[in-house]
Order: sequence, then C-alpha cells, then structure tokens
Amino acid sequence: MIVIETKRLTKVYTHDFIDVEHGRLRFNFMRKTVALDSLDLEVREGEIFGLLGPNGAGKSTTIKILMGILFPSSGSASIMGKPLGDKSVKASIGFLPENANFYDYLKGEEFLDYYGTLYGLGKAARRKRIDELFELVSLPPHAPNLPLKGYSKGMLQRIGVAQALLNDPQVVVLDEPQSGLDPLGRKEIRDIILKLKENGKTVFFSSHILSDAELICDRVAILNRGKLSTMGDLDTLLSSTIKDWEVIVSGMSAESVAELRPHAIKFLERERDVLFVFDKEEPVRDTLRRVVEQNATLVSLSPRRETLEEYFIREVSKKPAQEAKTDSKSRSAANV
Amino acid sequence: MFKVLAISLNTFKEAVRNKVLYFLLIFAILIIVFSSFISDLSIAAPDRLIKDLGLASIDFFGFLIAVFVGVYLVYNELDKKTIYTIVSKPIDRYQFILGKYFGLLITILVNMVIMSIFLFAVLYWRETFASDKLSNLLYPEVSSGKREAIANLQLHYYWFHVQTFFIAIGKAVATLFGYSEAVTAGLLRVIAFSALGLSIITAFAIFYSTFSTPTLSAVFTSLTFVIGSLSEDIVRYAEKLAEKAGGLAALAGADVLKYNFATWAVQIVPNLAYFDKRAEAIHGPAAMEVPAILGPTLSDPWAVAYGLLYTAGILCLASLIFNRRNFK
Amino acid sequence: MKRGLITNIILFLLFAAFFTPAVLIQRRGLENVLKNPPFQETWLLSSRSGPMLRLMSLRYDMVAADFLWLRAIQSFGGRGMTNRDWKPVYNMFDTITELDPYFEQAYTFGNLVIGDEGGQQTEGLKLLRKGMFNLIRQYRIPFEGMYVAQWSLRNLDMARWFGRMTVKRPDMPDWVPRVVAYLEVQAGEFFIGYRQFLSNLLQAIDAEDVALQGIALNKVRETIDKLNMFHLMQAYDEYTTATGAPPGRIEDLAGMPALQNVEMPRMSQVMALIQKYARAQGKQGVYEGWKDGIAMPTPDQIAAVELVTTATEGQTRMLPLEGVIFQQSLDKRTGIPEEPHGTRYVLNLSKIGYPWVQKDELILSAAKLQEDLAGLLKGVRDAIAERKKELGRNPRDLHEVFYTDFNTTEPFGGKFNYDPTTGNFTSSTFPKL
Repeated sequence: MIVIETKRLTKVYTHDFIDVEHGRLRFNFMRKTVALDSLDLEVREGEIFGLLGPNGAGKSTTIKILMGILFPSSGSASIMGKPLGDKSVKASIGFLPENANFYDYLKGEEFLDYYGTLYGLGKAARRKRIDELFELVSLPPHAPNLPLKGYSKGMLQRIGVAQALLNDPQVVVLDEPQSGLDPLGRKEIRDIILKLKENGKTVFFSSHILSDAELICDRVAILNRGKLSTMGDLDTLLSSTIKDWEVIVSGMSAESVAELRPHAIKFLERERDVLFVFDKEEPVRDTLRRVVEQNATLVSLSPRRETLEEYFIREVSKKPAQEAKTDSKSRSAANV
Repeated sequence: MFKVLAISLNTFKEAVRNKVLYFLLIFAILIIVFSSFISDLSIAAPDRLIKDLGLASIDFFGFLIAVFVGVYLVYNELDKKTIYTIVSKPIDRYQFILGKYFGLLITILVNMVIMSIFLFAVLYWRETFASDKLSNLLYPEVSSGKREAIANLQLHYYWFHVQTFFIAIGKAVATLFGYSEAVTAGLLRVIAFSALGLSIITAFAIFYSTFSTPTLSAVFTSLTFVIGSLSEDIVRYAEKLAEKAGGLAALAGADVLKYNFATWAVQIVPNLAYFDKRAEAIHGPAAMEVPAILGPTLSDPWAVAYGLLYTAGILCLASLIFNRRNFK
Repeated sequence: MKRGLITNIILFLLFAAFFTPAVLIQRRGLENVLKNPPFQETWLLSSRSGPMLRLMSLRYDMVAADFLWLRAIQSFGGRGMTNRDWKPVYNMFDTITELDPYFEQAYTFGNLVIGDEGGQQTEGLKLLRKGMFNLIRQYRIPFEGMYVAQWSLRNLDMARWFGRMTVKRPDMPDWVPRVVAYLEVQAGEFFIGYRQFLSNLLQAIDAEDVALQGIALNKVRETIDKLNMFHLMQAYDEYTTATGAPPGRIEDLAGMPALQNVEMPRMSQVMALIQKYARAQGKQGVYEGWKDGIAMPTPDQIAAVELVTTATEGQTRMLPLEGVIFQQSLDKRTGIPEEPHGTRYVLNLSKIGYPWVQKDELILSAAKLQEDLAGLLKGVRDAIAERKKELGRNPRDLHEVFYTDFNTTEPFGGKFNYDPTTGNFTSSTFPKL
C-alpha cells in the first residue's frame, strides 16, 4: 500500500519585490526560483524511506508541502490516500522539522503536553504517552522539569522526535533528523527509526548524511536541483556484486609482492604490512595461496561493495548539461 | 475548542515573558499611583483627575501592550519556525489565529485587571482620608479622651494607615466583582468598554502580523488606533469640506478625493469613540444625557454587538490571509 | 592586570574631566532659574488651540484638559492676575473647556480668575455662557453668571436672563428660585416673585420650618407692598398730571385710573386662604409668632373663602395648592390697596412739594411713617435739650433752637406743638409719641 504519493509536484518561489539578499537591498521583478520540478514519489507502508540530496535539492520543500506548511505551485500529493491538509490524516502523522526550535520557556513536560492537546489527546492519555516518550527517546530523568532553554542540541532533537510521536502516528516524517548531532546522537536517532519500523510505522525522512541513510533505509529517492534523480530499493540501486577486494598481508616475501603488484589497482607498502586493492577475483586467490605457502599473516581481507555515497556522487555529477539548464531556469524563470 | 484554548494559554505564557509588558505595566501603575499625588495640586475635583488619568492609562497601556507584545506573537512563531510543527498538527489555521488572538487578549485583560485594582485601591484609599468622619475613624479613643490612647498616638496612626491600605485593596478586588461605592460607581463599565475597544485593536494587531513584519504591523496598528479615535472628527471634516464648497455637487478637484476618502475611510476603520465611556463615568450620566458634543452616540447593547462583530470580522480576514500563506 | 588598572584609572579621570564641567554648567543654570520670573506662558496660549489639541490628544482629551487645568491653577496660584494680560488666561480656560466641555469647575474657576480677579467680567461671562450651553443640567454656571451680572456688572436684565436659565436646571437647590424671584421683583415682575414666595411659604408650612416661614412671609409681604406701591406711584403721577398739584390726602388717588379694577393680592386675603386651607388639612397654618406686623384677615373674611374642593381633597400638603391659592388671591380691586403690614398707606406730607425728594419716599405705610415721625420728634427733642443745657432754661420757641423758622409739615397732616413752659415737643396726630 502506498502511504505517500506525489504526482508532478512543483514548487516555484516568487521572490518578494523588495528583498534583502546578502545584506543588500535587492529589487526583484517577477523573479522566480524553481525549488521542486515535477516530483513523483511513492512511499510504501512500513518502510523506511530516505529522501536524499545535496543542500538546496528540494528535500525540505517536499516535506513542507507534504506537511501543509507550503502550498504546491502545481501537481498534487496524497498521504494515506487522502489529499493534503486533511485533518484526519494529520492526526496520524508525526513530523519533526529541520533544526527544530521549540518554545524555550516551556518545560519539557509542558511542551509535550501542549502539543498533545493540539493532537486532541485527553489529559490521561497525554500523561501516559509523555512518560512513555521520555523513556523512548531516552532523555535524562531531569528533562521533564527542565525548560527547553536548558536543553542541549541532542536533547532538543530527541524531544523533537518525541513530539512527533505523541499521537502514536502511522507515518513519521523527519526532516534532517540527524543534522547537528554527534555520532552517538546520530546512532540513537537511527535506533529510534528502526524501532519505529519494527512497530510497523512508515518512516519518511530526509538526510544528507548518506552513511546513516544507507544503514537503515529500505528505499531511497535522490533529489538534485529540484528534480528526482533516482528512486528505488537501496539493494537494487547499489550493485550487489563486489566492486573490489582489499587485502592486507604481512610477512610476505618481497618477490611475491612485486609479482602481485601489477594486478592491484591500488598498492601501499607500509612498515609492517602491505595493502592491495584488486578489482578481480584471480589475484585475490593468488595472494591467499601465497600467504598459505609462505606462512605469512593475512591481516585482513574485505570485499567492498559500492557505497551509497559513491553512488550518490556519481548520480549527482552525472548530468552536467541538465544541471546547467536548471540553473539558468532558476535565474530567470518567468516562463515556468 | 481545547486546541484554541491550549494555543491561547501558550501565547499568554509567551507574552508574560516579554519584558516590555512589565515596563508598560509598571509605568501604568506608577501613573495611577502618582495621579493621587498630582491631584492634590488641583483645587477642585481631585477624584476626577485620578479617575481620568487612571482610566486613560488603562486604555492607553492596553493599546501599547496590544502593539508591542501583539505584533511579535505571530512573527515569533514564524521566525522560530515553531509554526512548522503547529501547522502539521491536526488543527486548522484559523484555530491558530484564534488561539493567538485570545492569548493576547487574555494578556491585555490580565494587565487591565491589575491596573484597575490599583486605580480602585487608590480611590478607596483617598476616599477614607477625604471623609468627614476621619478624625473619628482615626482617633476614636483619642476623642473619647483615654490617656493611654493619646500616648500611643503615633502607633495608632501607623496602624490606621496599614488597616486602610488593606481595606482599600480588598474593596478594589471586590469592585471587580461588582461591588461599588460612590467613588468607583460606573468605572467597571468604562473599563469593560475599554477592553471591548481593545479587543478590536488586538484583532488588528494579529491581522496585520499575519502578513507583515512586526515593525510594519506596529505602525499599521497604531495608525488604525489613531484613525479609529478620530473617526468622528474625520466625518466632521468631510462635512466641513462640503459646506465650504457650498454643497456636495460643488466639490471640485482634490476636494472630491478628500471627501470620498474621508467618508469611506471611516466606514471601514473602527470607531473607537463608541467604546470611550470615560467622560460619561467622570461627569456622571446626568451631564451626558443630552446629545453630546464629544460623547458616544451608540447605546450599550449596540456598542457591544458592534465591537464583537467587528472583532469577529477582522479575525476572519486574518484567518483568510493566514490560510493562504506559505511559511518559508 | 596592571594594564587594566591603568585603563580604569584613565577612564575614571576622563569621567571626572567630562562630568564635572557638565555638573557645574547645570548648577549655574539652576541658579539662574531663581532670577527668572516663575511662569512663562507663551506656549499654545496665543490663540484658541482647543480644537487642534483635542485632535492631537486622540480620545484622551480629558487627560489633556486635566493637565492644562493643573497648570492653570498653579499659574494662577503663583501670582494671581497681577501684572498679567487676561487674554492668555482666557485662552487657557477656553482650551481646557474645549478639550473637556463638561468640566464644570473650569468654567467657574475661569470666570473667577478672569472676571473677579482680572476685572474682565464680560469675558468671564463669555466663558460661563459657553459652559451653560455645554452643561445644560447644572444650575451652578448660570447661577454664577447671574451673580456676576447682578453684583459685578449691575445689569439687572442680564442677571434676570441668567436667573431664568438657572431655575430650569434640575439640580438647583431650593433657595435659588428665591434669589431669582428677588431679581424679578427688582425688575418689576411682581407676580413672578409673589408666586415664588407664596410657594416657598407653603413649602415651609409643609416642612414645619418656622424660620423659613418667617423669611417667606416677609418676602410675600414685601412683594405685595412693592406691587401696591407701583400702582400707587402710577396713580400719583396721573393725579399730578391731571391737577397740576400734589395730592393732599392718599384718598385723593383712589379715583385715578391706575387704581381702577387692578389685580392686587391682599395680604389679609392670602393669610385667610392659607388659614382656611391649612385648617381644612388639620394644620396650624402660619406660625403664631409671625403674625405681628401682618395684615390679618377678619373672621368674616376667612369664612368667605371658598375651598376649591377638588384641590383640597386628599391633600395633606399645602404646596400642591399653590396654584389654587395664587389664583384665589388675585382679586381685582379698586381704590387704595390694603397695606400688607396691617396698617394703611399714607402720604408723607412733610416731603411733598420738595423736588429733591425721591418719588417712592412720598407714599408709605402708616407704621413706617409713624416711625419716621418718631425719629423726627426725637431729633427735635434732642436739639431742644441741647439748647436747654446751653441756656439753662427752656428755649422760648423753636427759632431759638434752630436759628431759623421751623416750618416742617407734620407728615400726617397734623401740627407740631411746642410748649415753652414744659419744653415738650409733640405732634398733634400722635400726641403720645
């Protein structure tokens, strides 16, 4: 079942007539920027969907349109089969915006209570849910009575996630949930997302931290300059074959090393060991055989697949011509 | 409904943390308290001065709060992007606007109540000392000639002041619930109407801030207040223009524009004169019974209906604009 | 650390260097304040700035009025109207009352300052007139106008106009109509006065206020007296025009047209009416002690009074009967009117024929004339006694006392008798006086 679907979703920003840009007053006449260009997305139930792309690719715009913060210029989108802005749908969605700011004068508990009321939860339900959530996002025990002003960045992000889960949503939308967090914080967010998936929720999130996305996503879409570049299963996208092998050995004879060296695409001789990178299986077998024969030590052997990052960079830098076109469009797009 | 209430309360919490609010409140209270001393300079009608200054302060500082606190309320949500999470919740945008509006209104009302308590307390306090029976009140034992009472005169004097102070405060609080003496008769009505007028100004503050920056909103709100205060004068001005030219038909050139602008502007801008009952309360209804030169011309129920309808209208407009708004 | 200290010291020295001269300059300015006159009232008092100020003060015009009011008081208290042009002060009060048209005290105090202190009564009245039409329910302002017109300007007609404005005001105290009625009587509107005092009398009877009864009774009597005198004077003029000579007796005037069939309330009739109606309500009526010096009705006269039954029915107060009593007391009469003190009108013969004598001194009540006669007798007797001391004996005749002929006519038309042997000086009309 498709939970989130967008059809030819387009957003064109019209600049204010008088604008301050880079500290300078600027007059714009019909100046428009295409932030999102005919986006078609599908997010299926129960999956973790990553919306990826470089800065300014239109990730946030997409999410804002889905959340009713922005209105699309053209195209349409639906969540759980209903058009945008439907209150019953909103009631079963959780949302964490990018770099979320909250009311810093409220205490953690008051804050969640306030948002719980906005979800229309009863007093007892709120009480129960808030306790659960503090535990789920593993905030320290003094957090409920601490004003948000006193929260660290990580705590804020966690309470942000908590507010998105207040209504026990079917779909959780997270905009850059890991930005600005330390590795430990990022891991915690990852764990929460996985836990949500375990509970059968659909998670839709945007990120530019690709290694994290790679770890948890079922499917991804890559946006670039407002256009959908790729969408599909992570496994399908990243070729399943092994790209190369990295072999580290020590105690191998100099002769063997010299023999193997021409086969390696990368070679590094270090004080104690030697590193080969082979792109074929043949020399790897050869190396292993020589290790056994010479009684040398195999320090490590790792077959390497293509990372999302590499794929991403390949994708993004693939179409320079098209990019140039998009760029000129964004400069003066009165005809869009 | 609970959602609107929750937003209102949160707005109130936010507004209460605004330092400007406290400066305004303290300043207003200082004016009210010091008007008591100033009024001693007057040879006649000292109460008039306190009431007048006090009621005007309550009204004007209510307006200042609406402007200086109100125009930031919506802006802050947009600026800090808290609006993102609010909009994604299952609420309508008009509920947000209503919540913001009522939050601001609650803030203003609470401040008005505090100022009123001070005004009433000052009046009651003075009333005690203005009374003819003061010497009896102050020195009952002294006038009866008890020796130990005379010895404790100083103490007795201070004790009397303390007593009077607390009685005045108590009466002032009771006045909010309908208690009244000659000195405070009718004042509650004035303040209630002031609040009604301010509810319109508050709606305007919220309305303007749905589509412009705080500074511009403050300017717009102030202008609305000024024009609204002068509505009746503007009407007279238009009339004078026509009179000068010798009839409507004889108006020519720029005067036609001026006339049309003046007559049409006052149709749209609220007429705050309807909510100004200060003169009535201070001069007494008897003085104002005749068609007044300055006074309001709308009966109470009509004025209330007018205020509520106007407020509702402006809030609808604000919601309409907010509904169509993109938040960048 | 050391560097910071040096910076601080330098900053402190700089502070001292800047601040000290500033304070010194300020001090000099403060010293100069005392040399200047206390108030410089040039701001916004040059013309009528009220309407403009009212616009500028938005709907807080009353506050603006209050502050101007305080300023006016301080300014006036500072040095009164001495050495000051009244115009700016007038403008100030005009502005205050423009800002707050219902500020009663501003009108009255402004009038006091400009009219009484500044001597510009007409300007003060202008202020009062403005207030009178703004505050149409308060008696205070027209009353002050009446006061100024009558006692400062001596303009009876203007005072009466203000008076009529005053009595229309609902909050007027009950003594105001008496003052106004007094002015009306002064101006010859006797019936307005008469009716007002009559109603006061009835009110006093209702309230059982003896003192007020006395005052009202006196006023009624006085008014009737004045009305009678008015007719008598007219008759006197008619007589002298017709005959070319002054009348010899008061009865000579009875046939004059001015005394034919005119409405002249009689004191005795008024008393009869009051007594009869009061008795009908089971009341005492007029207080016994006040009945001296009043023309009292005969029992027949009381009996002759017809009670207007519809007016008396169910009444327990006299005041509602005011109109009835007033109407019933207005009987048309011919001849010499009844003297309300209970005596009669006479001619003062000792004054008739002297051109310098005021006309209204010629006719008066017998009682009053008797007092005059007594005074005259006493004067002559004192003179005789003085002369007797000098001579050591009774003067032979009055010529020896006055060094001239004593040819004063006896006021009642009788004769003065001097007896040189006893030294007695008497009048033939009242030998025992």
